[in-house]
Amino acid sequence: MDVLVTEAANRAATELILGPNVGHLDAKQRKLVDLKLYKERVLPSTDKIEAGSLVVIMESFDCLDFVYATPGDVFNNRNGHFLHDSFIGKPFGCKVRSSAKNGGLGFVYLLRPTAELWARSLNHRTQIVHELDASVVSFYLELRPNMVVCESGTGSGAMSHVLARCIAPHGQLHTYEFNQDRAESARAEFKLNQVQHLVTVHYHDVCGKSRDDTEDTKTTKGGFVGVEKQSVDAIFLDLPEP
Amino acid sequence: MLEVSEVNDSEAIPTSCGADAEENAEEMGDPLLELGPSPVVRDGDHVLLVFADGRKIFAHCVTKVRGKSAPVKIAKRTYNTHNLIGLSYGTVLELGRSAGLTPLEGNQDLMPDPAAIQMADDSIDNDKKAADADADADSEDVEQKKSRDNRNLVDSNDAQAITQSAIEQMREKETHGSEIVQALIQNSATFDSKTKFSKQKYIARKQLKYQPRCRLTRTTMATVCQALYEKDARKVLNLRSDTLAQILCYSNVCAGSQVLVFDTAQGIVIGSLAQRLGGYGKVLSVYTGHAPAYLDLISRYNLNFPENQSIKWIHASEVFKDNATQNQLSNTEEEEEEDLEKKDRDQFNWPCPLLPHTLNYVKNEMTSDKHRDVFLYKRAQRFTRKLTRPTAMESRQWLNGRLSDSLIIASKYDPTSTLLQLLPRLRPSGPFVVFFEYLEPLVECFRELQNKKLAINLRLTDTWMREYQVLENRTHPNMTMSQNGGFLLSGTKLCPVTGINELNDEALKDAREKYGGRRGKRPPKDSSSTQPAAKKSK
Repeated sequence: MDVLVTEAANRAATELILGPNVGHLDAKQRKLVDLKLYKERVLPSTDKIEAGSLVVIMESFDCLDFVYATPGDVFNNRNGHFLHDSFIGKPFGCKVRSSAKNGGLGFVYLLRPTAELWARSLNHRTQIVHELDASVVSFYLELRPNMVVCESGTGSGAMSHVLARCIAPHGQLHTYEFNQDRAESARAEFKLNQVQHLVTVHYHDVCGKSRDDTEDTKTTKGGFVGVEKQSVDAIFLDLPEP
Repeated sequence: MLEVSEVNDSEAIPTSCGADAEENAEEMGDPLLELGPSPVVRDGDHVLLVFADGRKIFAHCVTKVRGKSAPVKIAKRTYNTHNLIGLSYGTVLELGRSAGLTPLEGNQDLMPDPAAIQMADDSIDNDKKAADADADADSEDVEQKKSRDNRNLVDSNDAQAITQSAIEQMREKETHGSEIVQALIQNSATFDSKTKFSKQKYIARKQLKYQPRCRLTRTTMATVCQALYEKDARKVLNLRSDTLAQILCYSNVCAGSQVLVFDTAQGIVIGSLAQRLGGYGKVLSVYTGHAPAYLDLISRYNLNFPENQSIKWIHASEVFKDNATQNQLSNTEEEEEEDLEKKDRDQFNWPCPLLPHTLNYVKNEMTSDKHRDVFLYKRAQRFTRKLTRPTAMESRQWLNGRLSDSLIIASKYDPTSTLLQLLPRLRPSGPFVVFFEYLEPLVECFRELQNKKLAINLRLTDTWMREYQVLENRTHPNMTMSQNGGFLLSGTKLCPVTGINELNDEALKDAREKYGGRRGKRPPKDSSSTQPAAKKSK
């Protein structure tokens, strides 16, 4: 009798977790059917600005800037001087008035960075993909967590941040840039923004048109180097000649 | 808690104890990595069948069990869906009368028979050769041959020689669709006088009718939203897919965030969020009425177990409190209430052994083994559902224990009052998005937020989406275009305490005098007024 009960219980549990009619389970699948594995996974919330955290500063509706809060540093803009020390310890979403030099007349808002705010505040090295297009692209690409995506034309990295947000926490974004300076600054940026575990910048021309300086007429091959065949879930191309 | 125990056929082995399970967890790594979307249709999946003329039909693929099949209804005929299990997504299926939905091999396209179109091209080429041969002839004649238009068209129904009943007979005899189409082309009197594009259009139309094909596609946030918007836009509050895309992006939802949603657009937003979060994070979904609605539409998204669990249903009374109930609550004692439902749930020991009366019933009064099997299975299912369902107090705890990371409202109720009630549940500097069908209530909302200084970075937008027909030499926008995709109000919430940091009037006046504001110091008031009055304009 107990056997029957246990069998029925097993079937019900498998159906709930793995889907109906999966058939015979191998050892790996059997391990999946354990409710203890599916705990709540929610990111801890960071309320206050700490030293080193990225802060998006909003001066006015269309003027955004960003700063990594460093003790002792000063942020200057047309509204006045703002000491970083006055940021640190404040919650995100607050309004900070400028230092006494200005009588406190100027003010800015300090916001928590999101991919959209980042795109509006960063230094454009190239024309970026704005939030409307970025949202529609990531929607139609049907991005979900833990996917592998290839992007070509890193540019200023705005789109890369949007894609990285969609494929967290274990996904991979391979992004290709054929200008060495931009590739380097992109890599540094991803590290500062703590998404380097999701994004790999490849310095390579996917169109295969770049020439090696040392050998005159040699052209490199194009394509997504460094990514295995048939391992990618989505590709985004933002090239001058698609 | 719910574990699969190793069961040998002959003996009962006790379930794995706690220590084993923890070991499992460690070597497993992230179980969500194993449960990603599969490239092949599984049993119980919902799929979307896409036709060449743009029709989109949902189908549910289940194995054939007596009394439990779910045939799909296409064009007044029903087709079985169990043969779709195991096919990979993207396969093109052909609709046959008796054969049902059959997959086609190779990389067949939705529009079949490029050969027929090739035939059309050939006939054009022949005509062209004929025209070239006549190039020496009168220019007038050549002009006439070249101009293929409908000046000689008579719209009576006798261009087609085959009768309707003959076609019916052919269909019943199960002649293949391509043969029917060929027969129709050959017996059409006016076919040759059509232009190249017109011929292609004619062939495509006949193929759509007699050789219907559809493609098996996944139900994802994009495809479901498009399908429902095309079918009945009013039901989904005119939530077009690009607007949904913007909602998902502007609210900054990512794996691990807690999103508070109030959705009456048939559950599209909830389902898309669950897919976007992928099982990491929580969707606190507010529902009105007795029970969470839209569950069957959410099941169409094929959410796996963790994704489904991440949707937590919260009754509207917990969030929307009007003054009357608020006073009531403050009077009653509600602090250390015991969670009775939770206690009830915790007392079950998996796998739940039978109580004596049930044991008695099963042993003595159940006749066949099969009966017993079904009874025990159903009982176990009931228990799994009970054990994985959160209690009302637990939901309340999730709601009140932590401010949500983002807020999304897509409902038919007044946006201003809804937003003002839900905004306190959002953490400071958190993005919120309000979707509404019409513009004016959102304008009201915008003004309220500005006046009360509740939010910043406010944007009221609506987007224009136009679809194009892309064919050789014929690429142009479609004849009709969607005019309303809904309006979005998005912004970032300010911290209620430190977000309003105004100088008091005295300090402001002082500062202005000393430092002169943005445009520099004002000239002192007692300057001699020798300046002509005309200069003061602007």
